[in-house]
Amino acid sequence: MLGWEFPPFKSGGLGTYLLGFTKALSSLNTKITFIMPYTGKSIKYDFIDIIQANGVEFFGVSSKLTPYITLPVESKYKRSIDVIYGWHFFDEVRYYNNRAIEIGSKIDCDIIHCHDWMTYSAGIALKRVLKKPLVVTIHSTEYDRTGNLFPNTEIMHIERLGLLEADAIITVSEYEKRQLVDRYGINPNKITVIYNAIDLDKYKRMNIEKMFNDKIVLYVGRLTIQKGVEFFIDAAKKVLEKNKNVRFVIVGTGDQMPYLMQKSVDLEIADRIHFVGFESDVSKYYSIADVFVMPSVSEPFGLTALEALACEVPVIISKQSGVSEVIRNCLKIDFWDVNGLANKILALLSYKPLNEELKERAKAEILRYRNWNDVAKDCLNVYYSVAR
Amino acid sequence: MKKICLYFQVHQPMRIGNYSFFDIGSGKSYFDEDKNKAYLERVVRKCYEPTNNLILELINKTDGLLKVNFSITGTLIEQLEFYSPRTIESFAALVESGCAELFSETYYHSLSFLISEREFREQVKLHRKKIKSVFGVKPKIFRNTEAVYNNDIAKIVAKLGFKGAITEGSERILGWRSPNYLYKAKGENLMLLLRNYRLSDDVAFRFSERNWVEYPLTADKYASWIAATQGDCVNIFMDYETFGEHQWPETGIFEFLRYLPLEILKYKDCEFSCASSLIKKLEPKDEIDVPHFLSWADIDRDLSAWIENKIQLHAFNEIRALEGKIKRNKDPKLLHNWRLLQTSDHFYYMCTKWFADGDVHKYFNPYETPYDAYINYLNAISDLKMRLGASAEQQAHTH
Repeated sequence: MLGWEFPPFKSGGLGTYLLGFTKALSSLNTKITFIMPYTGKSIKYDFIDIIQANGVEFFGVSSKLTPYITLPVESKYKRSIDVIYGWHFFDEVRYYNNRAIEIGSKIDCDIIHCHDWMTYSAGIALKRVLKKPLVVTIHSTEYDRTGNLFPNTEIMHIERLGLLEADAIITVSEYEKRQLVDRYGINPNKITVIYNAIDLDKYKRMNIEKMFNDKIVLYVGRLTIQKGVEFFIDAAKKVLEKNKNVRFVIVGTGDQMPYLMQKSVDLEIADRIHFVGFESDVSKYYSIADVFVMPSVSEPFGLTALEALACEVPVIISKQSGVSEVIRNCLKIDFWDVNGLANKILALLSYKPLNEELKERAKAEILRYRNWNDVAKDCLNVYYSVAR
Repeated sequence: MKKICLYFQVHQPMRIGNYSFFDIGSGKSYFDEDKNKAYLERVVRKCYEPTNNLILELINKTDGLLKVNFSITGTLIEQLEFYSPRTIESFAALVESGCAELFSETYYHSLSFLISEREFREQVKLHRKKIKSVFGVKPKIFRNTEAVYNNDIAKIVAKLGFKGAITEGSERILGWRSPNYLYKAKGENLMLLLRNYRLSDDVAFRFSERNWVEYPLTADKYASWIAATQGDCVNIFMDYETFGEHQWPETGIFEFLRYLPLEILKYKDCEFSCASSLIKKLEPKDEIDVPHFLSWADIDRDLSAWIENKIQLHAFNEIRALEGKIKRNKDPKLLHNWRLLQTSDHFYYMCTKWFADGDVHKYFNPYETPYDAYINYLNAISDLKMRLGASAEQQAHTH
């Protein structure tokens, strides 16, 4: 299996996904060897062999891969601002893939499984060398990541090659499947939708005292154009016009952070908007929130919505998301509909029975929801369908 | 002679438009004229017009042997008067033929019996007055919203002078008894006609269901079932919109209706009957005791489609709490708006019983989720409260 992050080294949902998924998969008698970029630290789990593709042999630097070009990963701490992606970045992708091919070609396996485009070149090569079927999982496409604005053609090219070469494709929603068919011209018959699961032990409501009486409206996620955070801020402005006693909390970092901060200053609501930065333990924020909003422009799945629900927070999610296909007890908006979003936030803050009914129903719904074992089983079925 | 009683409920609510939190206090109307007009024109085109024409044609063809019963809500009559007076005329033609009887109900198709007895009586009287002025007849049979019924309602209805009422022929109230006889309300001089829900739902719900073993349902087959039914009467009650709207023309529903009367009349011991002549001719077999609310909706046959979950309860309590204020205020426009907001459909849209029955709800629901319905409704109520406050203030100034 090839991927570009694994907990504790992660920037987004993929790491969370891989941990839950591989653990469940290994419990179903599957041996997994995972090749990922070099992190500088050792990662050890008893259910998976993790090999870090050390780039030292080539460049003397560890790989700093992330699929989100726009996101300076670990930005504040490790990356100096003068290191800019660009050709540099694509080179790193290439080096990682070359190393992955070298390592992978010595591994005896039945299936090659790649997660997201940065691993596709290696996946395609390994398919040829090992003569084993290639399965790829699409967690997001370049269209999603760029919010449909200026997608990078080179990345799209790699994505398309991987999709064409794959013997089977897994997407995390029907929404994403449609993207692959419509935008990449992929045969829908080889795409299987396997919805993400959630680890309910990890996300639970905690008993935390709020430091103020104001209501809290929460956003959790990267601050990138894909996530539609600016619509969240526009809606905040409208909400505050009707109700002053609300605070908007934004958890996460990303390249849009300066822009979003400036925007909240320009709208004169900066005192009501709290940028928290990156936070590995988000449960405590969910636990003090009155409303959770996921305004994504294009969201293949949207695990944060499930996390919020597990912590008993009513959620408002954009219709342009995969999670909106599986969750019924929530409010849905079009990402651009700022008035609609503000209306729903105000309704949730003003009409208590709505808040309670949603919480209660959603809790029951999330308890019935699938776990990682279900995901692993579905995935095994895909493996069997292409295994030689 | 076995009496076949066909009864059709004819109703459209006044649907609430997109009413945002930001519209509260803006003076914007709660009801979306364009949307209501569009819905109405569609249902007129797909159902009322063709079905009325067909029934009139069949009345003539059978020399008046076909008898039908309708109840038409005040909210629908108002909209028809405005957008499609032709449809009023075609209902009037059916009434004039002497073969169609009109029932009475609450003007606003409301759950007003849960608001107060006073409000319930007022709405029934309003409807009676409307039917009298539009169709020139005085209904003798009462049909409460969605056939909701219990002993208390029976008492009020009898006091209002009605001779009979209809409700669901549920095992819960019947026990071992059959719905195919005339009954009497417990302790009241009020006859009860009970819906044969199996035969009714065969048409209303199952007609076009392909995995139903009896598919396709033909007029002769259905007539043979009716003929084989034991009892004094067979009460087939359903929404009028079954024809052409719930069951599309492509399902063959109009052909079914076209041949059904002729097929039934082939059986010498079957005849159609209007409800009030039926209760005159038949003897009630027993008294029916209904201490708890009964309705014809969903599998639960109770009030849970409208008033069960927290949001429904809250929304209903909000509207109920306004009665005193609204009536003291005496502004007819506010009163009318308040009553239009009582229409049961608004609460039906907030139902969260998603699965099984939820599918039917989804079909009739203009909202994406019940929560959206609730938000819209509460925004409108919040505005109504503001208007009420402003109007009271104004009145205080002028007096």
